[in-house]
Amino acid sequence: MGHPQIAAFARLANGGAKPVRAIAGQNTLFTRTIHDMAYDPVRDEILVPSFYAFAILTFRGDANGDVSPVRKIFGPSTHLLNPQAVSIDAVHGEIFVPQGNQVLVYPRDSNGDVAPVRILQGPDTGLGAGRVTIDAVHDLLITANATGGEGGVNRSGRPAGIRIFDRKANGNTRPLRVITGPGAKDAWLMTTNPANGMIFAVVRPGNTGGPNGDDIEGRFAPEDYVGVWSIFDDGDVPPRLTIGGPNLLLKDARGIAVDPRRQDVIVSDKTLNAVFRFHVPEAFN
Amino acid sequence: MAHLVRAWRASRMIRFLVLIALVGTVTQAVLSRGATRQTKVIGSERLVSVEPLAETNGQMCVPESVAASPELIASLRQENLLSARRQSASIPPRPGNSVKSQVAARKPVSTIRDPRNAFAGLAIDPIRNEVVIAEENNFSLLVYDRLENTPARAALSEPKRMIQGEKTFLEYACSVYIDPETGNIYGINNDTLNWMTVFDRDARGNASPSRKLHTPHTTFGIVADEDKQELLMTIQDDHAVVTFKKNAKDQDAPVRLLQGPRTLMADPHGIALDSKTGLIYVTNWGTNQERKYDVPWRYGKVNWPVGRNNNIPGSGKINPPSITVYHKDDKGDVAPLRVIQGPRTGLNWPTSIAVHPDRGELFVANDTADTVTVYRTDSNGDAVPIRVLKGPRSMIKNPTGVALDLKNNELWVANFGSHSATVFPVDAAGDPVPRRVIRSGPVESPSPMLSNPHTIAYDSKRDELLVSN
Repeated sequence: MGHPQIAAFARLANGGAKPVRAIAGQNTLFTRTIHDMAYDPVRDEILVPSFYAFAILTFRGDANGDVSPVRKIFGPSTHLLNPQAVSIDAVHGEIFVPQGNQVLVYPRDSNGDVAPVRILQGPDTGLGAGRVTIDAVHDLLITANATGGEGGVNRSGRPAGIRIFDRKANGNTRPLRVITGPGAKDAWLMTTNPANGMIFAVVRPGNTGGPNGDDIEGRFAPEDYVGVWSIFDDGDVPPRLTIGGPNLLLKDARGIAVDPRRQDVIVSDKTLNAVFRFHVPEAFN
Repeated sequence: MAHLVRAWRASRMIRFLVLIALVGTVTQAVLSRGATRQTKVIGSERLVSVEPLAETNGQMCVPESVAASPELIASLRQENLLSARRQSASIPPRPGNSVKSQVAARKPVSTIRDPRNAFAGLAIDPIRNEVVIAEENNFSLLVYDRLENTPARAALSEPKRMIQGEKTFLEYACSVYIDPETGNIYGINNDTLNWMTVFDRDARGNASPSRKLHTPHTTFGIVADEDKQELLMTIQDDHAVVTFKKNAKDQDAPVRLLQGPRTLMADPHGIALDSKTGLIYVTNWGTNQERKYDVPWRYGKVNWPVGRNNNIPGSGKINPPSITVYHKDDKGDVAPLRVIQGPRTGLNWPTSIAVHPDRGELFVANDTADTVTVYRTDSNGDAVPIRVLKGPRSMIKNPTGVALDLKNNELWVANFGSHSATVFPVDAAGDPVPRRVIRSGPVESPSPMLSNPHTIAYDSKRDELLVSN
C-alpha cells in the first residue's frame, strides 16, 4: 500500500465518492498502513498511533492535508513499542494503548516524553492485548488479543478471547469477565455502544499475523464477520448477532465503527477494498 | 327646531367620521410599525409582505462550538450516559435464530468503493513496447501498449492484458519489474502478503505465478542488477535492503542484507540502481527506531532482516525525508556514501525513484507534494532540485510511481490520485502537458484513494466517516 491517509467521507457517501478532506503527507508523521485510530468527540480530536516513530499523534478534528499533529506522546519514557492501536475515553480524558501483554494509559493532554499513568500487565491479566476499547458508561476496559492466537491461546498461553476489565484496572489485575469460544478468540478491532452495553468486534478467523503480527503468507480468510456481544457475556459464548457473514459478504474485515443515532454499523474490508454501512437496529435496541 | 336637529345630526356624523379616521390612522400606524413591511403590486401578482430575516452572519445552522468547555460537554455527555447505564444494567436476552439469520444476511445500505483501477507503480518494457502498471484497487497488474494514449473524450483505456484473481497472489502490489530478456513480470506485495510473484510475459487473467518467493514483511521497492542476476528490495518495517538471487523462489534466503543504524535508512520506499556507477539510491520517509541486532537469523535464514520484535521501547525517531546512496554490494551496517536531505530538497513522502545513468539524473515521485523532483546523481545534503514537475496541466496528482524509458527518453509517472499514468519528455520541467496519458477513468472522476482501508471512526460532530489506509 503506497499511500497512507485518513480520509473523511460524508455520511451518505457511496460508490467512488471523493472524500470531503484527507490527512496525509510528510508533516503528519504517518508511516505505513494505519492500523487503528480514535475520534474524541469531547475535544474534537483524532488520535493515531505511529508504528515506526513509537508515538501517539493527536490531530484537530477538522485537520486537512499535510498538517502536523497538535500533540504527540513520544520519547523514551513513554514505553511505546510498535504501537498499532489506540482508544480514547472521552468522558474521563484518558488514552489507552494496547501493546503485547500490556495496556498503557496516558492522560488525554499528554505531550512529549510522558510516562504512562497506569500499566495493566501481569500474569493474572491473561493479556495479550492487540486491540482495546472503552465503555465509559459501565466503566469498562475491553481488550482483544488479536495476534498469536495459535491453538486458541494468546501470547500468554491463556485462552484467547475478549477480556473485560474495570476501566481503572492497573498492574496485575484479573479481568471481570472473559468471553471465549469461536468468534471471541478471533476478535480484532472493536467498538462499543454504551447505551445498550454492546460490544461490536471484527472477527477474523484464521491467520492474523502470528506472534509478531508479520507472518502473512496465505490468502485472505473469507469467513470474516462482525460479531456482537454484551458487556455482560462471560465464558464460551457465541456472538449474539453476526453482520456481513460468516461466509457471506465480508472477506477480510478490518475496521469497525457504529453510528448509534442511525443504528448503523460501519465496517471496512481489505480484500474488497471497500467500506460498508449496515443498518442494524436489532443491535442497538 | 328642525335646524337644531339637522345641526345635531351633522355634528354626530362628523364625530363618527372623525372616529373612523382615527381608527384607520391608528390601525395603519400599528400595522406599519418597524417600517419593514410594505405592500407592492407587481403586474397581476400581489406580493403580500416582505420581512427581512434575522441577521445570521452567513450561517443558518451553527455547529456545536469546539471552544465550549470540554468538561461541560463531558459532564453533559456523562449525564446522558449514566441514564443509559440505568437502562442497560443487566444482561439482555439473546436474539432468536430467525433474527440472527436475517441480520447476518442483510445487505449494506451503502458501499464506498472506487470502481476504477488505481495506478500505484509502473515499469517500462521498451523492447516489447509495453508498460506494466501495478494497480492497488483491484489487486492487478495491467499491461498497456507503450504508445497508448487515452483520447480526451474517452472514459478510459482498456489494458491489453490484465493479471488478476485469487490464484495470482497479488494484493496491494506497489512496485513492479520487467525482465528485459524474457519480459517476465515481477510484482511486489507490500504489507498484506509476504510474497514476490513472477509471471510469464503473456500471463493474463487469474493466472498462477510461474514462481513466487517468500519476502520480508512490508517489501516496497524492487530493482534488478542484471549484471549480477540479483534482485534488491526495500523493507519498510526493517529499514533495510535485502538482495536475493534473481531466480530465487519459495523459501530461498537472501544473499545480502543492508541494515542497521549507520545506514540511516528510515521507512525506505523506492530503490534505483545506476548501472554505470553501481550505486543504489533509496528514498526514505523518515521515521524509524532502535533495535537489538545481535539476535539469531529469523526463520533460520541467513541475511533475513532483524525484525520488529527486537525493537527497543520508546526509541522511535522522527527524521526529515531523505535519499540515501550506497554501493550495490554494500552489506551489514554501512553508512551511506551521501545523503540528500533538507528543506530545500522538496522531498515529501518520496515514494518512488528512477535513475538516468546517461544524464546523471535522479527522478523522485513525491506523493503528497504532487511533484516529481529531479536531482543530479552526485547531489549531497540539502540539494535544490534541478527541475520540478508540478501543476494542473501536468496531471501529476499523488504520484506513487516513477519510471524511465531509457530507449525513448521518456519519463513515466503513476498518479494514484487521478486514475492516470502520464508520459513526459525526459527533460520536461514546470507544468508541462503530458506527451501521452493512460487513464483508467474519466478526467474528472473522483478518486477516494482507498487502499487497504483498515480502521474507521465515526466523527459525530461533522456526521462524517473517517477511514484510514
